[in-house]
Amino acid sequence: MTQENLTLNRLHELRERSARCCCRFCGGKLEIRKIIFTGYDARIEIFCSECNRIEYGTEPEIYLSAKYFVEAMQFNYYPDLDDNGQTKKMNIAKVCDIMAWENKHMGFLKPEGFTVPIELNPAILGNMLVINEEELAQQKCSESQG
Amino acid sequence: MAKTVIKTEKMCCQSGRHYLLKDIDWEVKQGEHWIIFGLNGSGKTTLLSAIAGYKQHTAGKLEVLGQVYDDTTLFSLSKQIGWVSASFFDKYYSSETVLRIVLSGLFGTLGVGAEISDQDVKKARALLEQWHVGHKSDMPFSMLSKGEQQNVLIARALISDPKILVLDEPGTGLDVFARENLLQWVKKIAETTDITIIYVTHYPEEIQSCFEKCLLLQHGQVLANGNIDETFRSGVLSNVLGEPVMVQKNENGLLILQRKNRKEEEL
Repeated sequence: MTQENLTLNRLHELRERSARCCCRFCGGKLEIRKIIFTGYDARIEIFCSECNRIEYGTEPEIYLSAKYFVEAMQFNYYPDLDDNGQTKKMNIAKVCDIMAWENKHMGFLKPEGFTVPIELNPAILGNMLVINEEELAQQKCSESQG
Repeated sequence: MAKTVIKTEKMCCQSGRHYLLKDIDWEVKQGEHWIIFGLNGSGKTTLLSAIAGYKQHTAGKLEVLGQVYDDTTLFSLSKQIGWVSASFFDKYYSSETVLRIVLSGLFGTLGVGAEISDQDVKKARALLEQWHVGHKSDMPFSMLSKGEQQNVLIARALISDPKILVLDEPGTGLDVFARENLLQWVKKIAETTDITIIYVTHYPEEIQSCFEKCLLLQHGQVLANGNIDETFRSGVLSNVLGEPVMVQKNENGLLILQRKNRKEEEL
């Protein structure tokens, strides 16, 4: 593969990943950002603007599962740190890494995403409200009529 | 004859109307060990960030390992340069975890921009252990002390087995023992490998006998460039520092810089 292709592949991968994945720490949306002010267009990174950090991200299903695990099992990988929101985020990120590693080695996860259909346990979704695009359009329509 | 690994011709870096670097002519051969010396604001970090591919020069020519930086060569070149610069990376790393920072060195990027193998993780952890920060591998960078952060950046620089090692004030923030260890390590790398070393320091006592070349910068321009015995001399350094100084060697062969008092100056 030529160097040009390598660079183009990287840009393509980062764009796809930022659109599909979420932050391992906060679960927030990722974006592509040019962190360093330089003339090289290739020097971009995936960034979480919520955490203000460079991220690689994880699959949203893995994040939800990791968050549920940390909360339900009171998992704490950092017993020496204060028990606060930041430590909880670090714990979720740690579990995300472990789950992603396991999924990868079991063959369920490739760089492009899951290779198998995922059915999340409803308990993991917790109080999350899932609205599909159709419902969202209906909601907007009724709001405008009302 | 040794290959040229860095070559600049009339290289400039401009920010607005202000020149951060102006007309830099410099050539570094493979296996050479250089000291870069200059006051704060003389353009040292700007020069190094351009060489490492993290800043684009605005005029002139820059070749690294025989290639010119562009969007296609950027990462393949960048990962061959182990760059340690707290003053640069401090601006970008805060809550990023230590292990991921070290792994980013494999790609020449700031973050981990691709899938990583178990071998890579093992190598990163081994380097962190070697630099006494293995127990901090899952911590955010900002939670580490200055010395520990410096060690993380060294591990990051080494993970890609670089051809050029650029150490920008690596002794800053280290305690006395850590600095001694660092100097011994630099000496060992210089004596036992073919890695080109570029070492920036404000402290002449860090300039060991393994360094044979010196680049002196002042206000973004090269003031002197060549063999250390010819460049790191009282007269030239007095010019760089803006006041009369005297360079001497102690019994261990290390350089000492002393301010000249008025009487010595008159003599």
